[in-house]
Amino acid sequence: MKRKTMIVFLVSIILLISSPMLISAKSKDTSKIIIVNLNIKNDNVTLLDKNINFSHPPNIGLQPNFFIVKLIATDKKIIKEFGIWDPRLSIGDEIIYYENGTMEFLGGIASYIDDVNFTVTIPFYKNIEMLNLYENETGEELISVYLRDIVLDFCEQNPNDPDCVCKEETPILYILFIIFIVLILITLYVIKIRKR
Amino acid sequence: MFHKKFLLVVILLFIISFSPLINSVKPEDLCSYDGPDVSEDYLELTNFIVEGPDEPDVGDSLRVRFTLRNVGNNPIDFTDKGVFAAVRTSFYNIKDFGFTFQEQTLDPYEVVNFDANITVDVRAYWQIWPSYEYMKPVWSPVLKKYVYFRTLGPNHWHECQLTICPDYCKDGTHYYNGHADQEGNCSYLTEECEYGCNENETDCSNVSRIKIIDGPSVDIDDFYCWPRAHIYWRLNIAGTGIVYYREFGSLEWLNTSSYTWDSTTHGHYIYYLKPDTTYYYYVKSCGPDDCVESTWDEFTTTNMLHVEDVSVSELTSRTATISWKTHCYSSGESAFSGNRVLTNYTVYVVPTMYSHLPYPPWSSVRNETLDFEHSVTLRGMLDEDKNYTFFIQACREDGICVNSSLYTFETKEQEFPQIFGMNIEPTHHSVDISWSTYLYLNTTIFLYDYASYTGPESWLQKKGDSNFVSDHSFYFEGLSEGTRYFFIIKHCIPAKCNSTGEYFFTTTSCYDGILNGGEYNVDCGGPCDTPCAEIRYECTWCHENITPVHLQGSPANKIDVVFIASKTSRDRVNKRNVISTEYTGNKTKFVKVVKDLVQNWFLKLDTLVSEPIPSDFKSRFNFYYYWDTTNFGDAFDGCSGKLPKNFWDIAPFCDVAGILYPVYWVNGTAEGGGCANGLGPRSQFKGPGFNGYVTIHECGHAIFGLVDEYCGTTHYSQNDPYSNVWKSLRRCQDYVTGEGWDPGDCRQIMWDNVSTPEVECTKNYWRWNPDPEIMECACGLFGPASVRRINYMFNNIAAWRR
Repeated sequence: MKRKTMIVFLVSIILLISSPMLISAKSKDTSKIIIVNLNIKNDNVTLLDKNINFSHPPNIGLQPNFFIVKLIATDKKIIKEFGIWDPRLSIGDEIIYYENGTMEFLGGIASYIDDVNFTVTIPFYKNIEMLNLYENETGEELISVYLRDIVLDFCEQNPNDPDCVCKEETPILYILFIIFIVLILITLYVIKIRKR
Repeated sequence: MFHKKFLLVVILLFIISFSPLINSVKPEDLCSYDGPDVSEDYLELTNFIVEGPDEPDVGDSLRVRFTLRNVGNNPIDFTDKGVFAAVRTSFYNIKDFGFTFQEQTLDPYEVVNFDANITVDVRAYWQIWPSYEYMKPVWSPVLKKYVYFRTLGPNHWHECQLTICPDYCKDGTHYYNGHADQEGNCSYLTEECEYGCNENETDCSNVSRIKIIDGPSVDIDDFYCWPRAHIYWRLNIAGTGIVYYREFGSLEWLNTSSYTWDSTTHGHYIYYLKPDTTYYYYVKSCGPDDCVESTWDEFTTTNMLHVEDVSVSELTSRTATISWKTHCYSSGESAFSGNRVLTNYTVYVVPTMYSHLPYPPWSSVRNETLDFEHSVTLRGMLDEDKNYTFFIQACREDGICVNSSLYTFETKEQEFPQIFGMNIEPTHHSVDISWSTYLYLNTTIFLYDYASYTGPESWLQKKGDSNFVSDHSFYFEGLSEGTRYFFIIKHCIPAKCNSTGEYFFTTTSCYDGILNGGEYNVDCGGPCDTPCAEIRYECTWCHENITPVHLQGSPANKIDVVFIASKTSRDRVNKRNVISTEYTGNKTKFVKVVKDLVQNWFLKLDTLVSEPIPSDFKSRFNFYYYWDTTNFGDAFDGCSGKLPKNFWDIAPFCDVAGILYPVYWVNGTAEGGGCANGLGPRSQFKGPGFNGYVTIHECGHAIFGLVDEYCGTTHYSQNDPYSNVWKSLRRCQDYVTGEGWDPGDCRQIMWDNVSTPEVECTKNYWRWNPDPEIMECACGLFGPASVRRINYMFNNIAAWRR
């Protein structure tokens, strides 16, 4: 009887400790992105739409900083800050080709077109609240896009998504729960021994 | 008790919260005095307010209000002036107004409410106060009765002082920083307005009138076959630019293809001009507020008919190649443009021994090459070991001809043997070699392993003809894949033998870094019978329209490049965009173009750099192509083209999207160039699928964030960190010194016209890379400064993990 009780006790502890690990194990690619489609015209930036998809973001943040993007968390801290190119500006080269394989460089083009749609794609951050876009030279805020709503919508529709599970709170509650169970088991064990 | 305290606190909080409203003065209240104040005449003043605009000026109205109450025991008899507002401007000009309650009596406790307006008529120091005049009774001890005197209210009684000296503009002079002087008149600082006053005449006009401050000047570029004119000018402020021109005798004004680009410097080329022709031209620029046109001027193009740099090469016993350079292309070429003069080139050759005759027996060969550099091979008209004389004749279609000088050459003695039609076709493990000779020969071919060659006797295999033949063909088996071999051939006739030099070839191999057709998740290099590499990656992030051609792992830390087929190309002759199905109607061809670019350019990047790049650079790229038969790119919609609709939704992981367009030849020429939107990911570019160098140049922008190093109307910036262009000589020198390079090689981005000493293009940016450099000419190599930046991008591409 004593041995049986001990085995039950140990198995319970192991199950309690290992179960969160089993639950959290990822079995597929759950990378997500937040896509923010914008338009710039007459230096005014407007939001076209915003959504969340399952995919990978492009590697950005290595461009000359015409504009600055700041990703702001719900605690108002900056999650990430990076520069992007002015979507209105293109750099071109005028070239003439000849059938014998030669070509002639005629010069360059710097094309500046107003009224352009452009996209900022970022990784999914569960704690993101805003995407702010600034003009780098002046620091002027061009647009502030509220993203908390689409994150909450996504998590409501995908409650089992790993990025939507409350990872930070679960361990504390879980540890308290384990301590509570362990204490009860120990108490029962001690009472049983004393009865003998 | 507690309730009382609580109530008090609430009331106090209420009062405090509303106190700003109580104390606030309305914006239009220029002065206010709540009062009360009682004069010696027992008149109590309250609620004295002067209202008006924040900054009153001439023409504005001021409203004056106050209340007087008789707080004495006796009635007050006002005179014909009654109650009024006393006004002084410039201390001495009296402008009293609003006379009311005239010749009336104000009984004790009665009030007079004054409310009147005055229009500001002068910029000056204004004093306004409530006033009145009444008949004051004074006891006369002589007359034993009261006598009455006209008595005014207190002088400057709670007066309102206004300095009405606002900025204004008149007759092209701006008066500002106004203040009242000792006499109460307004004193101003002044400035002359270059462009007069603004509409409200409150300030100088801020119209930015655009002016041409230098030029327009014209340079005729006669380096090429067709004359072209370079017209350049400078503006006082940034503006657009366009050149209008017309041929002498024509009424139709043409213009340069314009693009909106705000710049103070403009330089436009006019192409396709006729030689020996006069043109009129003028330029037009527009700034933010107005436009300016230059006066007409003219230029005359030069005649390009000219032959130079004549040389003889590849001399054999019976052939010789004559080469020369021209400013024009040859006949077929010059026909494609109606503006050009047709030019033919013909080489006349004769044995020198007959050249002195009055009518030498010339043989002639007409030139058909399409280039600045021409060459013809004289064949069938020469004998061995003989001296010949020749000249080149250039003729325009209008009959004007120019003959070059006379030149001579001497043919060689007959060589043994002459070989032609050499063809080498290696596979993974074998090679087919064939060639022909003019003579019937007995042949032996010796095959060597390039790596283990120790001498002529170290051949791996040898084979020979059994008879004397003129067509020779040999097949070698048992070779190693991906290995370089060479061979020599020994030809014999009964009298003598002769050996050739070394010929090289490399057998094909697997693992070429490309996922070819049929190689799903496996890299077999060329065609393989069985899979020769293990499956490593599955593109779980690929939409059904995205197909990987070179997949090395998750896009998180790879440079992901997606190629898109363009449905358009460019007709150079008619200067229009054209629909082309060369790629969109032939997926196999487009995929081949993509694979050729990937295999022969991107994955050979290590051969295009002057300094090492990461040895595993191939594994830092993922390449894909996009294919949707209903949704293609358009390379010529905008500078960098238009991507298929919803492309970024389908391929959000894409770092660089490249639209490839097919060539559209018309009479042997095409145009298109390239364009990039973005220096570094995430970006998009367009490039010619048929020209790897130009596409690599565009990817220099789009992938690696490199800046153009040639001089033109492109965009320049110092692309820190690891720049290839700097915005000052000092910055360039500091950087290259830090790299241990020679700062003396820092040079300004400019272009010197070869034919004229003057500088045609200069930018305030500096470069260091040695020429030829890919960002300078889409030729040569990426210079060391560019390689530094390329390596920086390679090492930082996993941006989200930093």
